[in-house]
Amino acid sequence: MDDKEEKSMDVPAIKLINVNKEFPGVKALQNVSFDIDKGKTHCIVGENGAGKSTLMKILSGAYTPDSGDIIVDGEKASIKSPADSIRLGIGIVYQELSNFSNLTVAKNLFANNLPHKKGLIDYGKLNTDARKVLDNAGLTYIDETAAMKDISLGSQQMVEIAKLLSLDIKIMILDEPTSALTEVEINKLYSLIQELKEKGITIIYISHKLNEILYLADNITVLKDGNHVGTFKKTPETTKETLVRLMVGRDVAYDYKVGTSKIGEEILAVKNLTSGTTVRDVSFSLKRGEILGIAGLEGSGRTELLESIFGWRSVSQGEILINNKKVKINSPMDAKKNKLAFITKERKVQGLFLSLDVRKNIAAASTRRFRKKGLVNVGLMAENAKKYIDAMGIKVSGLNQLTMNLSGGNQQKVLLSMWLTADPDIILIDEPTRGVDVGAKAEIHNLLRDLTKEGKAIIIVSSEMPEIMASCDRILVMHEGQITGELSNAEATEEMIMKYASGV
Amino acid sequence: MSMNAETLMEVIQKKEKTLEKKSFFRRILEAREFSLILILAVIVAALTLSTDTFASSANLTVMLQGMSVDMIIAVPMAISLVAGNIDFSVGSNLALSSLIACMAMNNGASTITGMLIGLVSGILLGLLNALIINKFRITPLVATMGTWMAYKGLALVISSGSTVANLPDGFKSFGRAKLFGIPLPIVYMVCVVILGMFVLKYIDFFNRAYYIGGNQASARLAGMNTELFTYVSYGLTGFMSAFAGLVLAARLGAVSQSAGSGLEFRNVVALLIGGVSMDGGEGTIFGAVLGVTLMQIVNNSLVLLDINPSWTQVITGSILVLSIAIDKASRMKKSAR
Ligand SMILES: Nc1ncnc2c1ncn2[C@@H]1O[C@H](COP(=O)(O)OP(=O)(O)OP(=O)(O)O)[C@@H](O)[C@H]1O
Ligand SMILES: [Mg+2]
Repeated sequence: MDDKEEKSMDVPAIKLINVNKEFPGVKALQNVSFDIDKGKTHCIVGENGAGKSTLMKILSGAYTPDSGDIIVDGEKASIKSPADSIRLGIGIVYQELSNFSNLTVAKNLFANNLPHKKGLIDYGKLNTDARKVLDNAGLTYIDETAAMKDISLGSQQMVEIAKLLSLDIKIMILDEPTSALTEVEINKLYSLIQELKEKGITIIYISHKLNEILYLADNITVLKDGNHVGTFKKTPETTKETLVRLMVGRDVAYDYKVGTSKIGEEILAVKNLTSGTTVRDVSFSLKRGEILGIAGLEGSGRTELLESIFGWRSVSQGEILINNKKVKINSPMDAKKNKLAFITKERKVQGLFLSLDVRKNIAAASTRRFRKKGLVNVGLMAENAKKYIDAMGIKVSGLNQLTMNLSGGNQQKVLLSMWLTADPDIILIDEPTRGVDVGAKAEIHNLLRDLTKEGKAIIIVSSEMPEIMASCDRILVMHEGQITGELSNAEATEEMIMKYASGV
Repeated sequence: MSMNAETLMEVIQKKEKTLEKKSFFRRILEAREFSLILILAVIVAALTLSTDTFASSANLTVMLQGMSVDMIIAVPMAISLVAGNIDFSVGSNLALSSLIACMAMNNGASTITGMLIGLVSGILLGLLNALIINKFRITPLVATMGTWMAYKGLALVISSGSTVANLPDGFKSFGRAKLFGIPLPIVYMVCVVILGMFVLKYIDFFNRAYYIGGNQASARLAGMNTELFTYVSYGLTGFMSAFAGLVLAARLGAVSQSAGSGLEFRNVVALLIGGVSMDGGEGTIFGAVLGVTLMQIVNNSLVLLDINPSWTQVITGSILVLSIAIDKASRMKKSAR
């Protein structure tokens, strides 16, 4: 009884009242109202473009709402700039990395509060403090004096999370923090979150990985098309299916139809491929109609293997055969000529043209096809774009919306459409559904399966084992640049993959 | 995850990557400044051996004095450029504000008042650049090219194209006197360089240049006032342009609308050679000093070697391309690890 009274007196960490935000052509948030309880892990789920990141950016001061109130710790807050939000004790790790890539890890960690001695920046202390922050976060392997751009994507993400620990924050927002993290790093993140909770810090957590949500959440909010669907406590009865139904409005099949395409003759053979020390003596073959998965921990050389095949990385040894003919691929241009496509995991850096509209992006890898009488024809581009927007359910305000204004998951879908438009025979995809919602994930995998039915072949690299197991006919596992195991879809279990991946 | 997978996870965690640091030596080798020092050393050695005038103290004094004006402006320009804000208007600002100061002196203002008027004009002209950039969201290069032309034109208008001479003696000594036998312009230059190195490295506000230049959007999201920085850095560059203009006018005893012409281009090239990135986020004052010095030595050596000075541009252009190519090549190797 006493306990209950105390709780009812406890004001929420954040109370949102009728928050609205509109972008040209999109109502990103409509009358969103809910409470975020103090000291709890509050998860927010919803499809791509539901408005999750927009809401977080409003809390962090990156956007200002059109109307509505935000009550922080019982007091009405006016968050007009990031500085206001920081002052209120709100810290955020954005969905898209927003670090200072050419500065050191230490300078990134203390961007907001460089240590001083007598008014001057104290570099000695900067580095020792950074070391302490990294060690406390269990990131003993990250060099505080390395430039941010020289460490892995996952490490960069962990640094951004560790950075919040060095600030005096009360509320920590993590917008899809695990999309670039390895299994080991995700485990670290979980224990960090646990520690923070013990300190009474409120955590707002966004993810499309529903397992994570069910594991971490105290409370869950569902957004759909800018509307607040509901906020509820997680109970043992909360299941993935209930969440999906609320998010998508229908059930989603997790069966990606492995084994429904006819496996034909060999289309690609890789023999003794070696690139420096990252890819060592790799041989395998790929058949028409097949989806081949490559699993492995980060740093196992899986991404580098794709890069070597695509001519993006110099190869010191080995050969590649396409349709039983030896080919020389020294550059992405050669690869494209041989009807290969490579969809990278860093969509913002390598892949998308952020300042161009959706239509032009989707046409970008095959501009020649969109000509009429030798002139660029926007109508043809639009037609093609519409086809993919429908097929993948890409959420855009119009064909001329700039790609940089799309939600993260929708950017990923545009990138996929761009390469599918180029009509390649062999598609290499690194993390095909990073940041994509459950519904769209199924749509993308079904689309890939349909492509294999046309005789195309696909190689998927993914750090999500369930995804690889649900979508691939065959799985290769890499460890330290070498292939350590091969499993058919029927044989594969998480344990087997992990065993090969860890090289034990 | 099942028990089995969890124990495997532990195994993996134990085998985890360990901390690897680059050695101090490797870092030095990779620094842009290192290759520049090498280039400079080779040139200096060659000139010392092939001429007997280069290393003479008279020649060194001439050289240092000659580069003082460029250097005084290059320092704030570098700070600004690290933040991604190029200032192309410095040469015109120098001419206009020193003209204003000298005309004021010729019209009865005291030396001190005249100089203050000049310095304040310099600041205002610099702030105008920042205002255009901040308020109208015009890119720095375009904005300052516009003001470069406009300030140049204004200088021509107010001077009607004639040289302003007959400056007060007190003013002239500001650029001609010596301190412990060292000409004042050299003393000013050394002070500005030391001060610049210090503030960019140790003062929080100026050090933000690296954050802002590295990623302006992130800097804003981190709560940094990027607009204020733009005002301060252009204001400072304007102030130093005026200061350098006064030093030049005092030393020469006269000023005309053509003072400082070509300086902006020389300095931008010097900064690029010195490793200050056009896109911002990278560079040091030390690099800028090396860049300006290299430009000056090339100029000087052509005179000493009795080569047609028209070659200057060919040679500095080649050095610019070469030094950046060397840098890019070394970076490419790094990323191909
Ligand atoms: N700066 C902007 N300009 C125009 N439209 C925008 C902008 N930012 C977001 N939007 C639009 O607002 C909607 C909500 O986007 P938001 O990024 O909040 O989605 P999200 O729920 O985070 O999705 P995801 O799961 O894909 O990250 C989308 O339709 C998006 O296109
Ligand atoms: Mg988002």
